[in-house]
Amino acid sequence: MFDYKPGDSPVHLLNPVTKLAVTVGLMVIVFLLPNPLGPALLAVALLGIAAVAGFVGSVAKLAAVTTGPLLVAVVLVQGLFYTGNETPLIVVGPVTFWEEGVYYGLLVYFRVLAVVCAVLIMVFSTYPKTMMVAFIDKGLSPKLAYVFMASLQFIPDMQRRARAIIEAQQARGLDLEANLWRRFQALLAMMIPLLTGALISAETRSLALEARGFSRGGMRNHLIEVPDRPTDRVIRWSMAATVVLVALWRIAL
Amino acid sequence: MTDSTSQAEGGFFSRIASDFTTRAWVLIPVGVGINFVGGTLVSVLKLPIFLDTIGTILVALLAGPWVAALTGLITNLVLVVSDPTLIAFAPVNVAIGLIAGYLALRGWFKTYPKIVASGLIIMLTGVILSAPIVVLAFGGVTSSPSRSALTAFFLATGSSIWQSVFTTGVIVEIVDKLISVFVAVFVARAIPERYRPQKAQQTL
Repeated sequence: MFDYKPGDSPVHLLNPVTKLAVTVGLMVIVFLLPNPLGPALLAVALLGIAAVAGFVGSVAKLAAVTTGPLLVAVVLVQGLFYTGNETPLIVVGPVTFWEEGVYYGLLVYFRVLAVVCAVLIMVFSTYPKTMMVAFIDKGLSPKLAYVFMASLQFIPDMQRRARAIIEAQQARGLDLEANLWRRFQALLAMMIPLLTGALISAETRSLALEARGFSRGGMRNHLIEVPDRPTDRVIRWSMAATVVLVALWRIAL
Repeated sequence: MTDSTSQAEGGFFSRIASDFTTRAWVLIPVGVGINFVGGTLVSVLKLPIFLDTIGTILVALLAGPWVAALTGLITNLVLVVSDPTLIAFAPVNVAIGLIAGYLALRGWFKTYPKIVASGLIIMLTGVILSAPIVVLAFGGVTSSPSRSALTAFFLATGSSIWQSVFTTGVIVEIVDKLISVFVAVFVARAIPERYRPQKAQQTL
């Protein structure tokens, strides 16, 4: 789990909608680019942006942790078995690594890496509440915004409940080292109190929400205001233009 | 409980809208939390499965296909804060919610043979939808090393990348989805009458 890192860099001050638009645009662009160099350069550029925002260390570390196993697996698998393999790169005994496969594996890896970096920057630089207010301003239903925020807050809550129940069941003699079948049975012994508790609190929550006019229509006011500056509009439009240009370039080739 | 959407009449979209009662809305974060916490329990009990869709299936039983689909979508969007690559698999979780919900409405979670069949259908849905994502976006591998190793094994036996990813998916998911379905059904049945949403009368 990782979350918002407070700050007042230009990245933090961007409207969350702009950050999402840029991230989605980058996802499209990296899958249009035909060789590993483009996505790799984009990943480096994104690390530069993270440096401006002041959390380059965390982005680099988390990106390495989440995509590391993928790098090893994709280069090995594609290097050995890519269908276009023609040129041997390294021969170790009976095993041959092929150039085309390694190249394709790196392309896949850098695409994923660039997207992961972009997502991490968005998550680190955006306070979740600001994000929801910005989306409601753009026409997102407040109910959807509520479930999104509530889900985000509910995850640590559920984890706490799960730990409490595990300890409670252990105190009643639950054996975490028992055989596989017993451990599967233990799963139910944990799931049922966990879920029943969560559902009862959901019931309470629904009454509380209803009492506060949750299902009423009409305008809502927000405690925080999220400005949409001219810079935001410029960035969004240039991102859209870049996506179109890259797409045209790929079609023309 | 009053609800502005309950007066909606006839038609496909208004029927979907009528599924979204306040109670259904509050079930969504619960479902997301369960999807997440399944992984925690599995790692504590050292079980070789994922259990990352129990919440989606449970919401499908309690509140119908569309609420479950939204639960699946929000799960994968919110869990970006624990693994950014999950975002690519959001369509899979949405489809599992829809399929499980429609199976539930048609009574496919009422008897044991049918629950097993539902588990298999849900598993196939997941495998069929995740295969193109794994092959096209991730070059056939996932961030789970054992799963990638299994795919590599099938590739080494001469299968194509699609066959390998598909076979790996079936082998890895079959036990996982069957257990998820049974846990969801047992839990839904164990919920006290008073806290059981209306839809559950129809599905259990």
